Amino acid sequence: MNETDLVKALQEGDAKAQRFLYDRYAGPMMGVCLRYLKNEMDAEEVLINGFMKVFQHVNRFEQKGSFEGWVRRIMVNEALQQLRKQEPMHLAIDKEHIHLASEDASADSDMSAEEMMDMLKELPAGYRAVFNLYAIEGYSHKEIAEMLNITEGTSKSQLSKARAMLQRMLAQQGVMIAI
Amino acid sequence: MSAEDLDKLFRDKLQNRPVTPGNDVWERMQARMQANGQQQVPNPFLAPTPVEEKEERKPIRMWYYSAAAAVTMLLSVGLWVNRENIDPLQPSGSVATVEQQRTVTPAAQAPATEVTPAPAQTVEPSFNSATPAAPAEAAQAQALASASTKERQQVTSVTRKATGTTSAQTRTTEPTTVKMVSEPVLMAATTPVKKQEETKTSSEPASLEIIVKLDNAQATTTLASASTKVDHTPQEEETPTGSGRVLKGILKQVKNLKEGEKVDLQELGITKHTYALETHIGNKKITKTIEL
Repeated sequence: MNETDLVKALQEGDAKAQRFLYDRYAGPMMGVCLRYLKNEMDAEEVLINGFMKVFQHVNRFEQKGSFEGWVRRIMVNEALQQLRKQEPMHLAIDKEHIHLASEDASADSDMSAEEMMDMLKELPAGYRAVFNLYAIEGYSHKEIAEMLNITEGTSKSQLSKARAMLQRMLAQQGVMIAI
Repeated sequence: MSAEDLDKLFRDKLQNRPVTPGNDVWERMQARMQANGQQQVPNPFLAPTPVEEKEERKPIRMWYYSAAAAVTMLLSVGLWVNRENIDPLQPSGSVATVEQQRTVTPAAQAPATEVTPAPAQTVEPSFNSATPAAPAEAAQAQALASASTKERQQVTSVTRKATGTTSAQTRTTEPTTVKMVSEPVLMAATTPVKKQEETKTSSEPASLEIIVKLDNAQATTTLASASTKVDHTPQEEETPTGSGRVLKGILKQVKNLKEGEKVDLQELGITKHTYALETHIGNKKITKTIEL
């Protein structure tokens, strides 16, 4: 079943197509949700809400661009909504959290995705959200500012702080590995 | 390590990293979709607009209904409260017909005293009656009869209100009641408050005699006297004005109003009243007509 047929079936409310979509996208989308939300239960909640939104509004999807991208965007929005509901304070700028980036850290290709996920989880929710949106999802600062209801400047400063924290963690990792 | 490198490192590793959700997630989602109802299940052919229209139309319709109800209620209450004051709506042309003034002589009271054991002196001798027609004359005598039995004190005025259809009937029935029952029956008008007002206004000048004539086929006799006390206790009303009947009448008139027909306030028991005041000061005769 190709994407166009899948979307058509979904638009007709086909239950089989819904199951098919879930089987295909549940894993990747759960990965997306987990990048924003540390808690697995919260991520599953967002996944359920996201899929329900997809089924509900699939008739609004025009056959332009990738359907997966559309689904992913819904998931990201759901995750951000959950994040805002859950820990709204963490989205604010934390001025105390300024860490200097360690220039020694090098990109270690041996590092596993699990370790990197753990690092991401160390970040405050606000930093993590902006880093996810900018570095991984590829949104612009302007888009991020609209999605998170913050200013572009805030988005930029959150991103640089998130990067600094991650580089420091990478450096620590390198030291630990060296020992 | 540049910022771009850092971004790329994380992007490459984490962008498409699937995590298997719990086994029960699908079941949980199915349960919630069913709980949300059939409408939540996507149906591309069902546009959401009809629902919105219904939601919009409903309050408007309710608004119209409540406005109509409020107007009807206000109208009814207004008519009911002012049922005695709405007379000017229908100006009467019958004032001119009320001209004949006749003083009731003791002879007129004679039959009344025969009927009842009550003494004849209770009736004030200076009883003035203004009756437009002969039937009213009879009614006058009968009213006097009842008055003499009922009111132990000086009766200043007895007002008899008789609509055209009921007057004949009541005229015949009432004397019998006076005869049969030792307890006197008072012929009371439907609007006692107004009568009291008349008496009050007319009794202010102690020595003046003011004749108040009320038209509308109603024979109104008012006696002006300095020290008078009126005891009006309506025991029998000639025109039954039960609240149910009045309400029915009001509704009928409202219906007439709605259908553009003529509204007849007389059917509601609201009668037009025109008072002709007449008095003599010295040789001068002063008349005044008041429409209420």
